[in-house]
Amino acid sequence: MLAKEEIYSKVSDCLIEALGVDDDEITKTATLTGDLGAESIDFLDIVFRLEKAFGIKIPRGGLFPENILSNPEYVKDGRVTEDGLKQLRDTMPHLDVEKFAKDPNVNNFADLFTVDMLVNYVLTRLN
Amino acid sequence: MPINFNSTNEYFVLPEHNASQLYSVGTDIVEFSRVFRLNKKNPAVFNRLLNDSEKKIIKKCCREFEKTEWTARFFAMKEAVMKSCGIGWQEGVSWQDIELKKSLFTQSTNIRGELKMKIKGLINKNLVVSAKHEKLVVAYAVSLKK
Repeated sequence: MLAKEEIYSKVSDCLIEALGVDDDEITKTATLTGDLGAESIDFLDIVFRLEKAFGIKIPRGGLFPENILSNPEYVKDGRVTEDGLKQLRDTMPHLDVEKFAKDPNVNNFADLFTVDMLVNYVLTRLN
Repeated sequence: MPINFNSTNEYFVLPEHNASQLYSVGTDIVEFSRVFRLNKKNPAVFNRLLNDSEKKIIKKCCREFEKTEWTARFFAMKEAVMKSCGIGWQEGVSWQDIELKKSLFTQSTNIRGELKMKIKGLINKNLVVSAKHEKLVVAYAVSLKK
């Protein structure tokens, strides 16, 4: 089984290749969209590379919670509701939901998607 | 339901009196440079994005920028359609569940596979258009209620 540091190293390589960023830009807390400049089409590439690197299949919606912000039960007045947070906790154990829950403004939602989140996802899948 | 497309199929008009049939809307924007770069680095990615009929359209393009433009259109339109379905990307749903029809400025979609099952009973029809701007393509989609 791969250690977390080995997974981090492989994930970093995938992001360097997919996003054309320098290795010193990649940190555990770097956000994929804000810090590394990823856009929706880049996620197609990232997922593809992660699948190849780790020999896993990543379903759409498995890595990123794409049905939260579009659900009126989960978003009210620009904030993710308790039900939405619960849904995230239940279905996305690789996300740092507690940090986001301190200020669940939808504008902070993209901050959930960090390098460490990818590492945790892979770790969960490999385990 | 009468829906009017403009002459270049870059937008459509949903008559106000039929607005009650609107289920949801979706939109997406993609930069050509992103698609071009991805196609150079990792073209295999597009095998999971495109259906055979869409690949044929791209294959027929003679110039590189046309191929990039079409790939960007397909990506943006599929994202927009998915958003307009309002269910998010769920397990089992694939990019290829959305097949874009027509050869130029796609107007309608063929929804199949797992996505078809998930929207069954909710959505009657999906419509989508795309418009090219200087460096990007914008797609708009609407889903109409059953």
